[in-house]
Amino acid sequence: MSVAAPKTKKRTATRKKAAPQPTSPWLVVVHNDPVNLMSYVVLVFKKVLGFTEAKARKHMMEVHKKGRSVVWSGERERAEAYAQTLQTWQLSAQIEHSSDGK
Amino acid sequence: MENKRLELKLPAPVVGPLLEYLLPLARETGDTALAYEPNLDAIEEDFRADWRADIAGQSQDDQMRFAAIFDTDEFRNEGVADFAPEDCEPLLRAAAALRLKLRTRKLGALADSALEAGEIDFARLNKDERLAISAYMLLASLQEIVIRHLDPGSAE
Repeated sequence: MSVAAPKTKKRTATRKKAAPQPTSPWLVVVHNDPVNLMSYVVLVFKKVLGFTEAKARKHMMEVHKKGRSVVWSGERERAEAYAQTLQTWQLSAQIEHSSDGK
Repeated sequence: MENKRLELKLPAPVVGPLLEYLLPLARETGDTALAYEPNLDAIEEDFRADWRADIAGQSQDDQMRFAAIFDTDEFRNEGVADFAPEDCEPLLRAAAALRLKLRTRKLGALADSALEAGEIDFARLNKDERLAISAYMLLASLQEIVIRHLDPGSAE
């Protein structure tokens, strides 16, 4: 799947130095919230993560039913960019390291 | 994205009071523009303040755009708002931010399940809560209209 680059307008947040990269991936996790509409979450997944309609709906339903969904995994800086963009869309997103065992 | 201007028509007597209720929320600046506290647990400590400021700044811009679009005599008197395609995404984000603010500040007494299902007993709400839930629902309707405009093929 081709993944669109995160489009958040970066103002001041620039990393001063690269953190050591672990070999296991970082996860972008979206948590359920009772506020955002399902159709809105689907649209955001499509716009921010480049998901197809079917994949966006699958992850939205996972968030809704299981409380969370891993929507992306990979290198840390990209995971941070996706998480921050999802947060600007007011989704409850965060990054986790896959070795955290969650 | 659909490349046409979007005209929104809503019943003026309904939206007028709700607009007056929402505009001060939409014009909050700085930290108060932040609709929720982002989870930064896994973010390096020296990076968190900038990260948080970015979220608050984007949220403030979106909500100011919302206020600029709807704070017009035409919308107040006739319920008509007209906006450009590039305003759709800021409007969607602003509506989400405002709904989150209403949820946390005004509608904390309501159960998540009631809000998600839209099963609200208006008779049990005080005046401020009634205004808040009406504004909350208006924002959802606005989001649904904009989403249909942006993505007409998406299934509901």
